[in-house]
Amino acid sequence: MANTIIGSSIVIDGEITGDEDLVIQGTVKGKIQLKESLYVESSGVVEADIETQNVEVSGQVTGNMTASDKVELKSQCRMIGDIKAPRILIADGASFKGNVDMDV
Amino acid sequence: MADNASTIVGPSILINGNLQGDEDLTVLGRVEGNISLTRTLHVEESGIVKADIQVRNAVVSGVVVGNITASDSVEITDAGRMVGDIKAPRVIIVDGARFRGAVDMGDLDSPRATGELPARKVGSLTRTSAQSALPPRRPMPAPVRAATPVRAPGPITPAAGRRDAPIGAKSSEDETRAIGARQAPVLAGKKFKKKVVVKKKV
Amino acid sequence: MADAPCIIGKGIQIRGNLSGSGDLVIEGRVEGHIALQDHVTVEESGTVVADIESQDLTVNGKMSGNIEAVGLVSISSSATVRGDVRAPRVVIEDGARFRGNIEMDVPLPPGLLK
Repeated sequence: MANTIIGSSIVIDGEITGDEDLVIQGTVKGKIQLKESLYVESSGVVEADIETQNVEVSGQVTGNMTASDKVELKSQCRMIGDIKAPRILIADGASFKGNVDMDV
Repeated sequence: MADNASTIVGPSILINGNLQGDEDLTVLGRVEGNISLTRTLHVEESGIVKADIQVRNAVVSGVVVGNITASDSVEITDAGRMVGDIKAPRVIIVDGARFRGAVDMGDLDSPRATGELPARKVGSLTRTSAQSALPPRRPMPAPVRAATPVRAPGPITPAAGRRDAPIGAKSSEDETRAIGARQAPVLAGKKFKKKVVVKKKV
Repeated sequence: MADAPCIIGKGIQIRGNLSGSGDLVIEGRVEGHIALQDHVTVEESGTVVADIESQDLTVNGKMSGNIEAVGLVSISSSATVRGDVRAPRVVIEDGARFRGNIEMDVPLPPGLLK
């Protein structure tokens, strides 16, 4: 299956929806809705509300995140916004500001 | 880094909004809105683009509804379907393509654009500009296509025109495979990395 | 049906209507209107200022006028064409100069044209 990659020089202002993995190396503003995994790589900048199954953040995210499975904030990442997911991993070195809701 | 300089919109993805950038964009899914690129847009057979498009080059093998303004070239391949206007110094419509709209190549008395295109940096790892003056239809190694006289100079008779179809069909198959092959390592690396991390943490 | 095509040579200029069946090759100059049931070819030396209706049309030379064909319209790399084209199959080769509208049937996924 083809993978979707938003390259580092790309700026998208709008809405992305889909049923496959999405890798962001560029900039996305707006809204992201996926049924699979979202990877925000270290060069990636996302200013969007995100709804997916999994999120892995190595870059910058500003916005609220809802994941049906797992959110992972890697070291070096910057995340501002609320996270709602049953599993949340925050690595040493990650910077994060926002609320965490694991639905306890 | 060179490998990163290409954006792919997968078959199940819908992007609604403005998209701009300085790299190649390959659309297998759907993009609606505006596209503005300084490089080449490839709309693949499964791709649908409903947008006003400003690019250097566009290669349409899927569906485009909207206007294209290209600083270099626009090609509608034998699988391409387009409704809208094209403005570009170099426009190529291959037999089998479907198109409705206006074509504006600028000053018709100016010298023909053939051979004047700048060397493509697009996919330069696998293709040199000497192999073809046109943008690659897809990021793929080019020798097969370069050796195929798809666009023979001189008049096309109706019979000769038809000859294009099987060639185009064949090459698009090859290209689809090439895309899969090209992406495989990226995907595999990703999945692998992810799995390792998960094991460690859980 | 004529076997050998009719050729309008380089030195010939025609002003008026041209109609009939059989292939036509234009190496000279035609002004007016062309309606033929077969294949019309405008050679590199040819200049046509006319609307053309034909089965197929190949343009290698200069032409200005509207084109309506039942089959294939081929605008080759040496051609310069100004006018509108209506045909089920239209080919524009790399290097061709063209300005005008092209009208083919374009089957689109439903709901795409709003």
